[in-house]
Amino acid sequence: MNFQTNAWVPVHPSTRLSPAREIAAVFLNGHEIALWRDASGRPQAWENRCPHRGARLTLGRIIHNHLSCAYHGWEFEANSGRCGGIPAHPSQTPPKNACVKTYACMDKGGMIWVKRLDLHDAGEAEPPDTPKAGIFCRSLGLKTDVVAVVEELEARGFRVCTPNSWSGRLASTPVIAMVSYAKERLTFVHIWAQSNKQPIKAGALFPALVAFRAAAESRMSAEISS
Amino acid sequence: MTFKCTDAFTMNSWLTIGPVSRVSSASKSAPYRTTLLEANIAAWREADGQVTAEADGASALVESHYGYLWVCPSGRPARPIFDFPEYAEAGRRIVDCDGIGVAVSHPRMIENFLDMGHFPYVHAHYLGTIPNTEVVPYEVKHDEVADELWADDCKFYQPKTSNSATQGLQVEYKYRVMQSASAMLYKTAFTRPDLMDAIGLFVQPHSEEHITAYCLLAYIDDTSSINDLLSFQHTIFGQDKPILENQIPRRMPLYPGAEIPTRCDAMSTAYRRWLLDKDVTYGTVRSAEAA
Ligand code: FES
Ligand SMILES: [Fe+2]
Repeated sequence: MNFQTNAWVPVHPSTRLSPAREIAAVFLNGHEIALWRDASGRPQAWENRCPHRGARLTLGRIIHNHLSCAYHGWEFEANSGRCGGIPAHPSQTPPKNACVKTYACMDKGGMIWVKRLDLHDAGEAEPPDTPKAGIFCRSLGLKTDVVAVVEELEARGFRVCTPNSWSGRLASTPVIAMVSYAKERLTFVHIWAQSNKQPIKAGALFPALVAFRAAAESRMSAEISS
Repeated sequence: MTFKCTDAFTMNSWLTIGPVSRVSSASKSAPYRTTLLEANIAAWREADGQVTAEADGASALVESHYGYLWVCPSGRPARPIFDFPEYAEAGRRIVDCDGIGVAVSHPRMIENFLDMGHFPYVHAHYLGTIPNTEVVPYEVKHDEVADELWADDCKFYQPKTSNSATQGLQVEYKYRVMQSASAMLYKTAFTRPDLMDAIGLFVQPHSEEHITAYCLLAYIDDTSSINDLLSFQHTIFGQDKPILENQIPRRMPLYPGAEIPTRCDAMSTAYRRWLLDKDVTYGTVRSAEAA
């Protein structure tokens, strides 16, 4: 299994996050993360919790290169997470410890990957190379744990190709499934269709995704009831 | 033990279970039902007019004050109910805004009520507006006799302080914490800038992370309709609710370094210290591991 806590985890498709616009709520091994891009497009993965009074940063907004918290408007700077301005005290320099906890964050192979920075063993410097991913289909949120998802992938003949990525077929379309453990009983699977020859048969693929979700989730309920 | 609370300060305080009107047509066989500190409360009015309350079937100490019902969970109140002289003052309109349920701890709710810094963000164009975001220094005092906290020289620029306000105003505020779950604020009355409206916030902790926040107005305002006054308060509370329900953790972290205050949080910092002094654990987190 490749779910050591210092691993790079694919959390969000790269194209679904615009520079200096939205803030996505994602998860990494039980941690809540606010994901956004600065004006240059560089991805930022921050603990989804304001150091001032704990408000989720995903409620905030992006203004140029900082994220402004929804509760009291404290402004946190891209990359460092340092507080650069407290609107209640416009002429005061914010305290140094007013700093959001940051995670390592990179775009690679069509996905934004996130990794913890607070572990003794820092792990790999970069996310793994993934096979040419193809066309992004969708991110499935499955109400089950990662073990059940992997079992279901393997039962359908999927094979691990790189850490967190499985390749196989759904409705006869070759796909890459990128798996991220979100939190207890929540796992995301980001599905990419690998085909660039034939047009993707979306009509066939989506029912297959629904069936896959149901099968993976029922594995979990079977474990609970047994 | 019917109440799931172990700290003596909370157990010996007066906690509201809602407005007195809840028991107006309640009887022993069809009582008003609610929860307090995870205990099931039943309350009703006896034939002689007295209110009776039970917590998980055991008799509970209940009193009526200021149009609200108050239960002391331990049955041994540390002190009588706080003073609220404006409630009975001639010329004031008493408007009960009733309650709103919020998935948060009672300390987080009280702290939000004591905080001017969020006005331009959470209550934009009502209680504050960018760029008038500055909170000028104010002083916090501890009234040792009543064991209450006061911040009585607060000022904030507001575009629309109430439904009767037609223009912006530099508003003076006084804040007061009477108990861990009860607070008041006093603010310049728009129609009589020499006087102050009073607003009580009474929080009923159903559990450590679920509350009902009741709001009672003792207003100087004699021009607004009841509907205007109610809808203004409900708008304001409706703006706070999504923020309060998105604070992590829901309970108030009281261990060192958990959250970083700044100067405008003087009242919030004093409230947190006061909770620590009283050894209040209900609705709080006391260590990083527990968070
Ligand atoms: S909680 Fe974020 S600025 Fe206050
Ligand atoms: Fe508020």
